[in-house]
Amino acid sequence: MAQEASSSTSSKTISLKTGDGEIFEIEASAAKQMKTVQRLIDDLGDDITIPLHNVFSKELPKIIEYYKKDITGEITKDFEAEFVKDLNDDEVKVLFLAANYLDANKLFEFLSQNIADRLESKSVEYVRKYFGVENDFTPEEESKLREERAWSFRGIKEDE
Amino acid sequence: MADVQEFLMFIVGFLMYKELLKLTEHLMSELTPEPDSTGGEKPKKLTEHRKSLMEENNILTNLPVDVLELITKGLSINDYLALRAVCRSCRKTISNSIENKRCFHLPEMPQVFLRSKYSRYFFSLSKKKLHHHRLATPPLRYTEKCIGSIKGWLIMIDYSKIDFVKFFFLNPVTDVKIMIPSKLFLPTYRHSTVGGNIKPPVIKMVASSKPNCDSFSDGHLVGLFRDYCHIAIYKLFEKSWTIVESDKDSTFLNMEIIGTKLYVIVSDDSSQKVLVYCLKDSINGPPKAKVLAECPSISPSISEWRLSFLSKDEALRELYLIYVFYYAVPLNGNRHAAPGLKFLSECGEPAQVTKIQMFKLDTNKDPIEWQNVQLEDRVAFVSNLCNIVMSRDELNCNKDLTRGNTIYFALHCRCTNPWQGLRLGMFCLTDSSIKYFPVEKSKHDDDIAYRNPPVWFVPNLL
Repeated sequence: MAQEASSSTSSKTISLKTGDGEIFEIEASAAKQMKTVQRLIDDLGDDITIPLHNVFSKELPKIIEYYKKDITGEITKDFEAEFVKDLNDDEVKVLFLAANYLDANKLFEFLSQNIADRLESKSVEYVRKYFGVENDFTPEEESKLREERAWSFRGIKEDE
Repeated sequence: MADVQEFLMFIVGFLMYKELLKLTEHLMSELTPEPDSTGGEKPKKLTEHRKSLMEENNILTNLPVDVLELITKGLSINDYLALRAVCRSCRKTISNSIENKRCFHLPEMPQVFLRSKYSRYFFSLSKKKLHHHRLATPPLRYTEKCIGSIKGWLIMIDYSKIDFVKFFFLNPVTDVKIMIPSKLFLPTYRHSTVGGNIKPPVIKMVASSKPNCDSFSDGHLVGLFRDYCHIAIYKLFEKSWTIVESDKDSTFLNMEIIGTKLYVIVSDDSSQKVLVYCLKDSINGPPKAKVLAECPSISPSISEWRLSFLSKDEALRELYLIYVFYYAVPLNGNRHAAPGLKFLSECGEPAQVTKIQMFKLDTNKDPIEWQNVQLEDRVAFVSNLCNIVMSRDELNCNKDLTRGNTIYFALHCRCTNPWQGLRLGMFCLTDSSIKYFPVEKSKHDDDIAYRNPPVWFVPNLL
């Protein structure tokens, strides 16, 4: 959805500095979509470079790319498919966290759906590995769990 | 005031990003240049430091619940439930969500419920296959049968006793049972014994809503007796049963409840019509019926049979009349269940569905008539015991799986080979084409086909 650019910020760009020291420019109207950035702008003013300690040069360009398309109203299913096509699971996770930190709703929801798609029909071990979670069940508990709901443990895809 | 708020927000933001700073630091150090495709095992002994970092940095457990819901919203029921086995904290989160009725997952496509002596079988439309669940919980008893469904719940009858029957709702996904408190006593209608088997006296039941929602306590259950001449109406609020008898020489065929109105198809020698009972005001005796409309008289051709069903679109509260025509040749004459009611006895060859028609009421005409309709972007699911009409948007599926204007049927017509009596397939209203889904004979349970007529239901956790 194209965001109506307010007259005062229509052609302004904001400088964002990543945690690893790189600086990227985005349009002010795109920055408005990332609530965290907007808050920092409101506090620090839009003239200075906004520091984003938790976002790094690897992912910020992707995020900027997404919102560049968003403000011109060009986000289509095809664009979204292309956007995530070459990302591996970890990259999606990092983007997801960055979008959460930046409070960038649209991107965040889109990535949530993508993560859900990547987890579809995967085994429990795969999900654990994906989120970096330890299995804290005892072997007995675990075998009981597997029997518990037959709905859950059928039709598992092979781990990729 | 605003300043304090801003200040607090700043503090929260600061704390949040400190947390996430640690998190992303950890993630950056964990990220390997290429994903480990061999799936090697993590070293068994993690250092204490790494362990505590991992716990702290765990997306699953540290994210607020509503953020996690955004991810689970895109998962099927299977995957959602599987999350409970990931780790303890996950299990807790998911269990809490289910308890608070805030579990978000993708809506499921209806499945067909079938049972054999020892197992429950489900035919899944998305996989076009039967799958079965050998559950750790005890299997359904011989004297428990499914006689209807509503949303994610099967309506079950327990006919183990001679003088009365009991009913309960069963959710096959969560295995939760909700009992209906009052027994239905059977004064003059005994169990019929056919070849030594006791059969349930009530063969079909509909409910006004699903059992664990607020409107249920004001709702109704309506059951059809095996003699097709009596229906039993249960008012949940009063916990009382009322039995209504059909007029002389006419029989009840099928029913549906929309809100507080009960619609029933009655048949006599000449025709079929739909009656409507108002369930709300029955202070003085059983509810009285009003004729709603005559059913369209489309007679089946030679060796063709017609089934009449009622269905509703839950969202729009609209009533549908469904005619299913099928071709079948009985082996040894026909069974007469009641005056004017001829039943198909066993066939040698499997029945062939020839066409299905859907009708809606045209209230503009006087008298009210049924008009043939197309479903457009809606889909219908038809079975002997339950009929559902849904919009395609409500279905989570590969859009190719459910074309609009399609009727999925799960019918049972008695056949010498019981497996062939099960007819599962789809009928397209646009071009009247029919496609059957093959049902492979299971190795273990031969009696699946006649243990219970097939029932559609929509798997759900609530």
